Amino acid sequence: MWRLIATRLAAFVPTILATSLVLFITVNVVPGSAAKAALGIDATAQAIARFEHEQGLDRPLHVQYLDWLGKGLRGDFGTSFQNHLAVGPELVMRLPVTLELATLAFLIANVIAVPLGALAAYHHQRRADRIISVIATILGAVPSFWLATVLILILALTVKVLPAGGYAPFTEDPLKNLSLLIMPALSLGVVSSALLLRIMRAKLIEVLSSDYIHTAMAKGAAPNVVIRRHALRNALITFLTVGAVEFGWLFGGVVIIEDIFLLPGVGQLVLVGIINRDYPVLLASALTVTVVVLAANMLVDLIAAILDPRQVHVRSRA
Amino acid sequence: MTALSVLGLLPRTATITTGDIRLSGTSLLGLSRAQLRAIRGQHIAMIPQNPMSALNPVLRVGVQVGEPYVLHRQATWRAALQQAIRRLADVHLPFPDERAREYPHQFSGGMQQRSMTAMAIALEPPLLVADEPTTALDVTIQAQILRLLREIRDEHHTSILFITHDLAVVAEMCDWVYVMYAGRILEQGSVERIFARPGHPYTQALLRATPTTETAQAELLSIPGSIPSPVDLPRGCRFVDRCQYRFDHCNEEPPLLAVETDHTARCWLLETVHG
Ligand code: SF4
Repeated sequence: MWRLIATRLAAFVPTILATSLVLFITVNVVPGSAAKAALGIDATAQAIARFEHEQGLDRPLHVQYLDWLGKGLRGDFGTSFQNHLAVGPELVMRLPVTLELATLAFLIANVIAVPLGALAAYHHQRRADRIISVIATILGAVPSFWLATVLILILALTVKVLPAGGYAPFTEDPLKNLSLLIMPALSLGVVSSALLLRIMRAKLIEVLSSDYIHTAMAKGAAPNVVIRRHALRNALITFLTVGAVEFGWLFGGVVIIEDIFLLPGVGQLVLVGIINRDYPVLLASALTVTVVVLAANMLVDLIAAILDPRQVHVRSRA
Repeated sequence: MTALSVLGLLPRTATITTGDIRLSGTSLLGLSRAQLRAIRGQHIAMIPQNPMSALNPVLRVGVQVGEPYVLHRQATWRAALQQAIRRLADVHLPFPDERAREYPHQFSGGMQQRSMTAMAIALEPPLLVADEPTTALDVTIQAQILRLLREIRDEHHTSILFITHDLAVVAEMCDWVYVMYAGRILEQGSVERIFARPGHPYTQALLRATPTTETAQAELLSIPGSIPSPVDLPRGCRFVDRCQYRFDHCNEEPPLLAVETDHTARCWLLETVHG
């Protein structure tokens, strides 16, 4: 069990390092000048050169990378080119917002996907299955920003039951916090539930045709017992392993959703960083998003492993 | 398929078109799903071909062996686990109370099949359906499982419907034999009579193709041809394509004809012999 966690953790570190390198290169290769963005389009060549020298942008790329990485490891992510605020503390402030949003969205996605997927699998190739498949296709085709707009239009502007945007920390006002986060979480969660639903359905269909399900039925177990006791956990194990990978997709939507709902999260910072070519901000926030995705991945993966006795209980005496 | 149909577990797409399935005089075909469920596990239980895949990988062995008590006797899980441990001891699993807490992947193939047997005899059903229960096991383990099944038959007074293609196992295990081919019973009779005087050309060929200590050195005989596909069965006798004795009459399906007392075979040759 502990070995399991340790091996996953050991794989975590090199992954983060590799991602940081890819991120750094991408940001620097993309055309556009940080200096121009910071100083304005009519900045003189001299001013630009001075800015680049001050920020160390005239150094070779590998030196810049190692410098950034070294400082980053000590928690120093530099200061913004734009507002000259330290990036690190800014991130620490914004991270809980994004984490809460992603967790809520993932929960919503699973609450939709698992029961509906199970229902579809149980009624495989019958009417309920077809109806659910159509629903899944529609959900999967809807872009989350569109769903977000529709939700705001209906729930915030027409019916006026929920605020359209903004943020309040959970610790200060839990109710307000939830009322502000429910729409963004729905727009992300509902859309990603489509894919999870299909995975759940496929996995359960697979499990339901296996020998141990026949064994359970031969014992005289009723269908609901067969599903609950014998099939669901087996299906969940493979579902989560695949689902963990798909979690990254869900996160891709965070950037836009945070912007739409005016949530001061990390995603918003990514967007600001891109628009302003604010390298320190962009690099640090994008890296944070990556770390969160990887950590969530690892967590889901670990839950799947814990559900599976074949991974937790190693083979004992023959 | 035979075993699955006896348990009423055929896939939705399959239906039983002719014949009947009777257990101690009651037809199983007319029963509702709930009535069938009451019979499964209580009156009929199954010992599978591949114990590894027949055990649920995420449930402890004790839970799986004890489950019939929960399903049919409304036992608590605690009581069911106690019963499971008793049954695991019945099938001579060493350290049953420790083993009950382990998972199937921690067991060897023989131990897995012992557990499946413990599960099957949990509620002492009058009928066990053993579907090639030893094909997935090593030879030495096979012998142990066969010994166990004989012991269960004698001690628990259980009938065993034993499905196998291994004639040595038939000779060792069975009292009454049905020889099946392409979905038909071709011959039936007591094990002694069938081995002493096989009435059907298929049975005769099978016996010739089985190595014995005398013939072990010689080349193994096999029956030429292959089993007809179920969607393209021959007209008349099912064995007609591969039978060396076939004659005009064989394009009509023969009934079961007497070979001797309590021994019949589905072959026209017997009609010629007797009348
Ligand atoms: S009925 Fe004819 S074909 Fe069939 S086994 Fe007898 S002799 Fe052979």
